[in-house]
Amino acid sequence: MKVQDLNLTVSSLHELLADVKSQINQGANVHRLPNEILRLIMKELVLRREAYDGYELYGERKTVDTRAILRLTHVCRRWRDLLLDSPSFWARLGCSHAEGSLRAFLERSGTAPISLILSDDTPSAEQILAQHGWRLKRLDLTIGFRSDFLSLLTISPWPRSLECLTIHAKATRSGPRTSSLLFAQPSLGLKALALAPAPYWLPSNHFPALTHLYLDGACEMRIPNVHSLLTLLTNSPTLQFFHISEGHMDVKNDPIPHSTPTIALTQLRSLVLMSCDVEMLDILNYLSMPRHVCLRVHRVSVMVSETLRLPFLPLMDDLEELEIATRKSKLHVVATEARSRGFWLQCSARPNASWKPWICDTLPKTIPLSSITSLRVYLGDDLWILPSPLSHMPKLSELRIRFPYSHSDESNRMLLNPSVTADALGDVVNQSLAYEAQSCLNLRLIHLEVVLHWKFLYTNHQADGAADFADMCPAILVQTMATRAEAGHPVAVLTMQPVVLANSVHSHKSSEALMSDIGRASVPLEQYVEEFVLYPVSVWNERTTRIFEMKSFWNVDGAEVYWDLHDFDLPKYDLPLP
Amino acid sequence: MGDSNRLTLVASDGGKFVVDKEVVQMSVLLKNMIEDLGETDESIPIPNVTSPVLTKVIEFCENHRTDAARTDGPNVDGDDARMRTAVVSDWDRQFFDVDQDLMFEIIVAANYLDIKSLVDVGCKVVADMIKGKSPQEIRDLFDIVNDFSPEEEAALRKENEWANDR
Repeated sequence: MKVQDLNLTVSSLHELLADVKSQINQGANVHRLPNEILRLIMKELVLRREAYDGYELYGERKTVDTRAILRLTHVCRRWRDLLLDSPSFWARLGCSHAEGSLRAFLERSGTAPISLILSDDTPSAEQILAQHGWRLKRLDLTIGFRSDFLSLLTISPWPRSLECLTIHAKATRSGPRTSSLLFAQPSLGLKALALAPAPYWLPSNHFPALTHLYLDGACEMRIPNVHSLLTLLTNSPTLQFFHISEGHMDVKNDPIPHSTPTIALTQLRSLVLMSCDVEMLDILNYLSMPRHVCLRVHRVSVMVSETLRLPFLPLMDDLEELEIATRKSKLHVVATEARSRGFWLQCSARPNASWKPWICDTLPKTIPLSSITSLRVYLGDDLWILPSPLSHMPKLSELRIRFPYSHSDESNRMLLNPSVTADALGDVVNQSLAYEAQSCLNLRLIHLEVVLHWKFLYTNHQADGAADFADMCPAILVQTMATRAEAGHPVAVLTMQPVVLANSVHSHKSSEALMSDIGRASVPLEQYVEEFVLYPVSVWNERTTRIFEMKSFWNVDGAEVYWDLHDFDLPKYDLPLP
Repeated sequence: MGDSNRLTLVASDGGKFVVDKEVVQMSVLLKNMIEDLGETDESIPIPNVTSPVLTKVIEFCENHRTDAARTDGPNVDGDDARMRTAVVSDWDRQFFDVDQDLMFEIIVAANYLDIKSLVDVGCKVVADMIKGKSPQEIRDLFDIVNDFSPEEEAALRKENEWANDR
């Protein structure tokens, strides 16, 4: 017998043995599952979102994790056949693939739409795009420091299947990119476009299907000119999610022309302006948005509060719940319809500026306060602002006030400001709510969130703790409640939430004793309200507060379909609280 | 005439289960059968599902009867989107904390009865069992034999080099 024949025989025996083993495998319990179920399990493993870095907007060296699919194909013949027969499982590719791997993945993906991570320094990038560009579903492209010409975007014909395009353009050291090369076709069917950071130009194509637009000006980049931004928005009529970070405009040399027509974004669900110049807010004057939009303006810096001008927007028309928190140079204003939409503003002015003029004069012109039924407020040292917004809120039924309690005894080392005491609160509440003022006649609930500087209070007054809190319930507050009750407009429910700072937790005084002290001090109030509730002492730190809680709808459903938003882009309260 | 809101399911081994119609309507198959049968006292045979498996399936449906994602709810766009949104709760994990035989029988039954949420949760639980394991560990887990021939093994070894692309 020849060696060749022997080899053939051995090979046949190996094949026979493998077939026998395959037969045995049919009895494995997992193989009771039909192919369509097994395929669902594998899809869950192979197409995991985190295995494709393209969803990360800011990663510089993005890759695709191919290990899961390779492991699965190496389990047994049935699994391998199933995976090889599923082209879409092989259709996520990265420029870091080795040549052989890249070729195999492209081949195995057949004609399935592909998601591709590319860098403009990938040697085979142009070749891949030339051969497979027609079936692109998603392209996540990184442009290097020196690259000035987006040759990769000369894909022709433009893939009709391309849904999502992400361009990560690193800043050039030699100044802005001068290329004005736009995508070749006048109209593109993209659903999602991210320029993060923007390559110093914006496309002027029509985007009739675009739903997600993410622009990042980055530190040294600027929106090239306001005209190109407005053109992009005009050309994207189906936009649902528009997010712009670090947007800066040169208002001196490139202002928005007054003749600019209004841009109708009738399907917009979320508009986010993050860390932008205050001048960027001027674009709101030229946008027509539906009432159901969530508008979030976050981390805006202004030199003086008066420069923060916002147009009246339809969404503001009937908002019911309002939060105002201000302390020194920081301002937080959130107005919502309670369930699904609202307006969010968080900004800071130059150090030591006061937001008092803005809250008293500009806020009522920006948000119609007449529809507000619930107000949550912390005003820091500016407690005296409160009567002004309250005078615009005839429908107010719930008022929640957070204030720092400082003992009026001058020996108290923690006295923050002479005006911020329970006496001051009493004065303010009386001025706003006493029946004679004819204000807030519908008010039924007052909640006081009292931040106590507990440790120091008891350190100085260990002998008689109860006496410390006598001034928590000033006579004028009792008088206000009494007046309203006698006039037939009582505050039905008065609740109080003592809060201590985290570093006071280990005070020698127990929270039960503290509650008892506060309860005794508040007795005079109880006769004028139907219900008085004193909640147990809660510990406050930077992240948790009682009256300011972000509503979940700010994480607008669908916002992260194409990209995972970075932590600093996600909605998160950054309250100016003590 | 019996309770019109309840009906009787008969498992392949003859076991009878009286259940709320609302609960079994999580199964597209049974929902269609109920609609076809109209008001009737007849029991519905489930020939491919044994009593222990049917017990578990009914337990799942009872627990998820108030879920928003019902068969008559808004249409979720295909398997991809549905699987992505399927959430595996602690209760679900506990539910699938059974021997592998029963676990796979439940998934097969859910597929036969067309109970999408149970199929999705089952697939996710199995995927979690597989996640991060080497081919040999997966074989050990499910009692699978390596049935590749030496020639095929050589090709696999070459593919292993790709895994280091990252």
